Amino acid sequence: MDANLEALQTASQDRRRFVWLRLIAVLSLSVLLIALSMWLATRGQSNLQFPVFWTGVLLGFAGLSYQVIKVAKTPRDYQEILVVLGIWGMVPRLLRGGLSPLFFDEFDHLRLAQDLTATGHAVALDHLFQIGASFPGLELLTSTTAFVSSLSLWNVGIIVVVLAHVLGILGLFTLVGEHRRSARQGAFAALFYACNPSWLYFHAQFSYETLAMPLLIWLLVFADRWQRDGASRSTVGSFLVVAAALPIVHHATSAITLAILLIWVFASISLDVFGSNHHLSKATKRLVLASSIAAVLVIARLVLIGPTLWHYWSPVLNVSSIWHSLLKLIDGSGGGRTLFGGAHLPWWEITAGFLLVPLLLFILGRALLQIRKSPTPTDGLEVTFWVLAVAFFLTLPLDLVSSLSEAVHRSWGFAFLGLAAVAGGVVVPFLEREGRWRLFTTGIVFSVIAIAGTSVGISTNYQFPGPVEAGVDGRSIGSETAMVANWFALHSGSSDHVFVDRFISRQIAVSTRADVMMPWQLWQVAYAPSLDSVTLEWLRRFQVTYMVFDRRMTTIIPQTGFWYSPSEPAAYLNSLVPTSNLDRFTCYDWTQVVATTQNYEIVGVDQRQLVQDEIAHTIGIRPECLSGIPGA
Amino acid sequence: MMATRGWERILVGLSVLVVVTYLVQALGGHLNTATSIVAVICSLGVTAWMLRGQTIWTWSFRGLVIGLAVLGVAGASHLLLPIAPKSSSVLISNVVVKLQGRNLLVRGMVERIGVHGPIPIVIGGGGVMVRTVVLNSAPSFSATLPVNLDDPCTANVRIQARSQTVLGPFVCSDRSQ
Repeated sequence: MDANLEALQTASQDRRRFVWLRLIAVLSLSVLLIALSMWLATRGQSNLQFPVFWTGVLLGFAGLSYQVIKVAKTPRDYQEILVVLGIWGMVPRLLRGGLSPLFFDEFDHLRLAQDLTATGHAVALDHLFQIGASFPGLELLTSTTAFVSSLSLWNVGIIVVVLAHVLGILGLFTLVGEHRRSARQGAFAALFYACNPSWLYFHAQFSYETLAMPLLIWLLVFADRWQRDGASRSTVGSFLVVAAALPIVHHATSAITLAILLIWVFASISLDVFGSNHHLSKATKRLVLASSIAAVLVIARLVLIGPTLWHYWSPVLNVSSIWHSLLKLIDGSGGGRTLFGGAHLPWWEITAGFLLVPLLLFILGRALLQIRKSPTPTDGLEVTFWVLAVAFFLTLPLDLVSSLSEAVHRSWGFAFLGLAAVAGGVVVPFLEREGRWRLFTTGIVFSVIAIAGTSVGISTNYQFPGPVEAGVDGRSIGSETAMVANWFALHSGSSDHVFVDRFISRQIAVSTRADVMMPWQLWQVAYAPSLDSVTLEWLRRFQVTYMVFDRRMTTIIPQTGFWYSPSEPAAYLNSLVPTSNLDRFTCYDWTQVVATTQNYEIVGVDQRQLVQDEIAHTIGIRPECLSGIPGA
Repeated sequence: MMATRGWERILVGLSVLVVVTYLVQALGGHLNTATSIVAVICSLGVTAWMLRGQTIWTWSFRGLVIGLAVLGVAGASHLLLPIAPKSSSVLISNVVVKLQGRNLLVRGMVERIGVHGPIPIVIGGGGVMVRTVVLNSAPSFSATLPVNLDDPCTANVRIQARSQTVLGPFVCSDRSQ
């Protein structure tokens, strides 16, 4: 008998080992295919990168889903698979950017962490990332770990991001799994959440949202435990700590957490009062207490940051502008975006994008039918999941308003928490019935949602590498910009102020302690036919010591519509900078071309000479140029 | 329970670290190696106290190990496939123009990315004889150019390497000599 048991245990261990080795093989192949797609994109000769990328990504999803459906039995099994999912989900971002920043936000956060490490304090950079210093949680974590470990800031940042990516997925698994007492539903909710538009790239970047999202999810986990099981030391302690950390990390996620808790409290109270008991249950009272504590912590912090936060949020929260944009859309007078307008995507990705909404509606429809048939009453958290899920559809019209599209895309990360929880509840009973077609159908639906999510959530310029293109976010950096940034690393310091265009600004910002700026008041330095005393006054006021010009300003219009700032008068006018405007810097006594590459020119500005010129009421044209500025 | 206790501890630990380091700063302290070590010890202490009495390592490292193996494949792919976009360029910098009698001594540096082999550098300008200096592996160049101008410091020196040009006038030093 013992021998039989031993043989059975050995066979079970062998099988387990085989299963995991098979998963490693599948995921390795998936990673190789994703890497191959990136390589194909770099060559820029065909659109083969799209099918190769999705074959790789879907292979990874399929391998992990197979483990969830066929292999995993215990919560611990699911947890292990989801850890792998979280780490594997970092692969596209890491392959795309390598071990260096790529997204705009990443440069800003890295610079903030660099300044924090150098000065010991979060420094507000007026022209770069002013709000960041008020929410330095990610940078504090990164800098502290870098101090203790002696690793580089960026490497620590990557470790923090990988941890956050895993923690987010495990958080949703725990939230749904514990609440419904079904690890399987939790695992499917986590798998579904991984299809959301932000997960593969946006929530894999070194940015405060990446850390804030798992904090939000785990706050809900601890709140759920508190209301369900009572106030244990670990639950209350964890809740308080996470509730205190969240408003140090990110403003919008803190505000949305409050909204989610409010919906949950409101739903719980309503279900209690209008339900069979007609009075508040103990669970609801505990939830109200937990939510109140979180509300006090978040509101107190947001109020403290008040004016800075309002300055940052006000352009997005301009209700009258949003209303006018919506009215324009309704009456067809334009001003909005078109879906996939200008995106160079294959037809099947665009088709998947358009199928996203009907498929999600279909899933919600099935969930509604399930609720009708279910004998158990719903509760506050389930209602909250539904509200978040429905919120996704309510945001869709706003996606057509240009000024709101970015905020809308970011909001889908939150809406998908609800969609994933609802979908988790639909998929498990669906697959429990016999029939291979069910497995096949689920696979197809998940694949379409994953493709659609990524295609609507990320620009191909960020998704894939490619030839360096000036004026294009995500593609404008390369070895030539690195060369300019390296020059600044060697020649500039914290007393320097560099006037520079948007596209190379971030790479310079993380290479030097200099202040990197692109204020709209200086746009005339490049655009005006001649420099006047007002422009020189701005150069003095901003204490500019260097200016960087991309000579391609004379030949191309940037994809964003502006070179410096959306507030500059030349923004969206599609006007080229005349060549003479960039040639003139050899003709002023306060400028000197100090370095040049194929496309970039670094011009030194002598502030003392500028002041002398001001006293002499001149704009400082060199005598040899008095007869005419070269090229003018 | 969903067997995620170990990861929960990591999250709580990270949150404590955020709060403690924020308080260090808010109370006027500086974030440095010493305060970081204190903050990490505080985080570990608070987390351990909050979760005391519970088995710490209930979670399996297997998922983490497999995940790291996958990242290893990603790293190897990145090394094997030239994924990062590259361009070739040279950067002309540190140009100094010095007057020596009736000659101009022009010196400067050329950094290169993705450019191999000799680089011809053409130096010249209005009233200045044109010279070509071939730069092999050294990063700096220099040339002496006869000038036929009354004031050599007014010469508009141009330095051209590959397709980029640095335009003068540069600061003309030692004018008194």
